[in-house]
Amino acid sequence: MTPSTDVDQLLVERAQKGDARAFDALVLKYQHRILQLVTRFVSDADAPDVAQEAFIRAWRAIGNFRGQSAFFTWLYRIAINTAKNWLVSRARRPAAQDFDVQDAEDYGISDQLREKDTPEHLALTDEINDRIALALDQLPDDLRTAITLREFEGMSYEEIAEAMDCPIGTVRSRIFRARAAIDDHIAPLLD
Amino acid sequence: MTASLEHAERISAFVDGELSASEVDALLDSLENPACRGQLARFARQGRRGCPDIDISAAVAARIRQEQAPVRNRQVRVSPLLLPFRWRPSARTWVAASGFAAAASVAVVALNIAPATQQVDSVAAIPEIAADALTTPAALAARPVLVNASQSQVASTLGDAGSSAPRELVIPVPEQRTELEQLYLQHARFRGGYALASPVSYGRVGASVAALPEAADSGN
Repeated sequence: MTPSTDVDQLLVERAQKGDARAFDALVLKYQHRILQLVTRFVSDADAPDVAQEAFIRAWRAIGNFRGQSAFFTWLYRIAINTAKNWLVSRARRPAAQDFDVQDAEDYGISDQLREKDTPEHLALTDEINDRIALALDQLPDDLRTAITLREFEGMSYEEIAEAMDCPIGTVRSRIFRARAAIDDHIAPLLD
Repeated sequence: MTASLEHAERISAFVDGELSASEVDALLDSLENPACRGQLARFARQGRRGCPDIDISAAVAARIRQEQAPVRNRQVRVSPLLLPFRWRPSARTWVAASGFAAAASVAVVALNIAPATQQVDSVAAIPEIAADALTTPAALAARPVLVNASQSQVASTLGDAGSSAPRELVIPVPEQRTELEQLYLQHARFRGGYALASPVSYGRVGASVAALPEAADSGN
């Protein structure tokens, strides 16, 4: 079991006891991934409402979550069902194909559900990607290596520490500083 | 406004799922700070291609607070003196109550009108034989004719009174209809309980009387 699952599970257990702050932390952590998912089913205008409804359903059902899967996987299924129900309630046929939720995120299967790449959206996305690439190029080598191994290779802090031959605390600090630098580059585009 | 380095680093570790359990309380405390919440939202969105720049966490938190509100409302204590004034009937309740009141009014009116309609003021108005019948119902059953023929000039009794052939009653004078009706009503009163059974009985008597003229015509 990964540390991520451990922390999420800890927050879930607190939420099951009625701790709304713990659930709020999970919302903050996963809201963009859920929004990204539901925008493949519904319009951009409806996506916030659908994502919000998915989180509310998750909150109502959090007592039934037994931890047999990762919290995010469970939440992902709720979001998909919520989006499909949203389409049905508006007499629109949901996507006929069935797919694994993890595959949808990892391999971009959800991109097949709804074409949402307007020219404006593509242009903004390209610009953000360019800014991120520029920020990575300008990072010191140790920060760039740490964030690359984390974001592109999906390695854990422990694995990165072993690869870079440094303490885990150092890896954590390097990744944070790399993120903060990238955030400084792309923040003007998002304001 | 930016989060402190300590908070921001903790948030970064939380996004990566690398936060230790001992830091969860500190993380939740830091998320009370809007700057830290913004930092977490930005870090979580970073690198997610095409992800909408929307923060729904505040809206979700508000709805969760609303979901919890009814539970708290149920715990509000109300003075027993105010309880009778706390009930507020809905529109559906008023409609049902109106329907019930209307049905009850119709029933009361029907029960009051029907006995008055059947009331006979004077027994003297009853034909002689009918008066006898009131006092001796067994004798009435033995007689072949129901009305006094000499007084009302009713032609009756076709066929032998002692035979089993069907009898035919002819009433040529309209006044006899009223008398016959009164006779039937007195008979009903003699049987007793007309206050409750009268609507049905009177309807049956009325229907029988209404059919008499045709019988009279066919008899002529």
